Amino acid sequence: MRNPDQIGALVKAAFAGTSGEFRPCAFFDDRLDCIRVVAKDCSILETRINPSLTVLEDNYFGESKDGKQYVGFAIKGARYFCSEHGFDLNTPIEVSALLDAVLKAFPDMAVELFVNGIARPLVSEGKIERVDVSGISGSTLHPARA
Amino acid sequence: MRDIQRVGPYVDITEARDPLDSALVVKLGITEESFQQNVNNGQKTVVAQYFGMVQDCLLSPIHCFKGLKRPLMHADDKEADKSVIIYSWRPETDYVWVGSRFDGKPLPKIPPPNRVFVVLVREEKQPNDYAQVGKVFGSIERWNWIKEDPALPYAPVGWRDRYEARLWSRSV
Repeated sequence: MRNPDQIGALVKAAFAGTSGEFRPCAFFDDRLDCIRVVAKDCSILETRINPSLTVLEDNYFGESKDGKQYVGFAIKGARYFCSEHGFDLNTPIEVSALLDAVLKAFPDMAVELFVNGIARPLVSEGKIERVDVSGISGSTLHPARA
Repeated sequence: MRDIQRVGPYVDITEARDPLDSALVVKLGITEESFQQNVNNGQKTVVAQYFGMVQDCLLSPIHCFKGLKRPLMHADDKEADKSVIIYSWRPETDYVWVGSRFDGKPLPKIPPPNRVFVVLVREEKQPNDYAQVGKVFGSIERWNWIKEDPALPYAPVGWRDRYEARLWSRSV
């Protein structure tokens, strides 16, 4: 088992040559066929809304300065979901349009609360506009690059 | 502290309990693509968790499951959900990165109660045999915390709805 100093050294080595700066982002995890929107670099607790939707929570939100519990969400089976809802997989997709499709696909109160109460505010505050589901390596869209 | 083992498409190779027999050990890798996605996104906490809780810790899981109960397409494989292996356990320490990549450090945390840590692994369809490490069974794809199932300690809540099968469980 490694101690924190050893872990710190390995993390710093992994980020060498990068700014290492976290920015809210939306990215497509090709190997798990999943879109993730992440607004904070923290230890994440994943809580299912339904088999396709998961909300990401900060494991230690009570101790954090911002006190924000919800820090992101995931849409699983993303490629299937996007093609079922008429999105072109070869061009970046507007996250707001994706959330509209989520509401349409799962018309229940839990999903409505999730989309309007958690997901839309996160996307708006993080200025996360689009996600690239083409599966091209490194296709994370950050606000500054989008 | 062991060095990172780069082999083939993997930036690191580690040992894990064999999904088919918990008494045996297999080799798992993490691909450059998966690892680098976390780096590119600046997710230093996720990378710290890899070095502190995933790498060298995959002999600790209490449960092993197989198959995600959700659609998963990978390349042309429309049944990629079936090849996912899930390990779950309750690590004693979690890590959260504080500060920048230059002056920051991983802060050890006692995990909140009633949570389990899961690691998702994709079984390689045609595992390659490497001279340095032998056969690599699968690739480590993701890790995170999930609430614990009240009826099955050390397992994710609702595991029957999430996963196709429980492969094994070990006593604590």
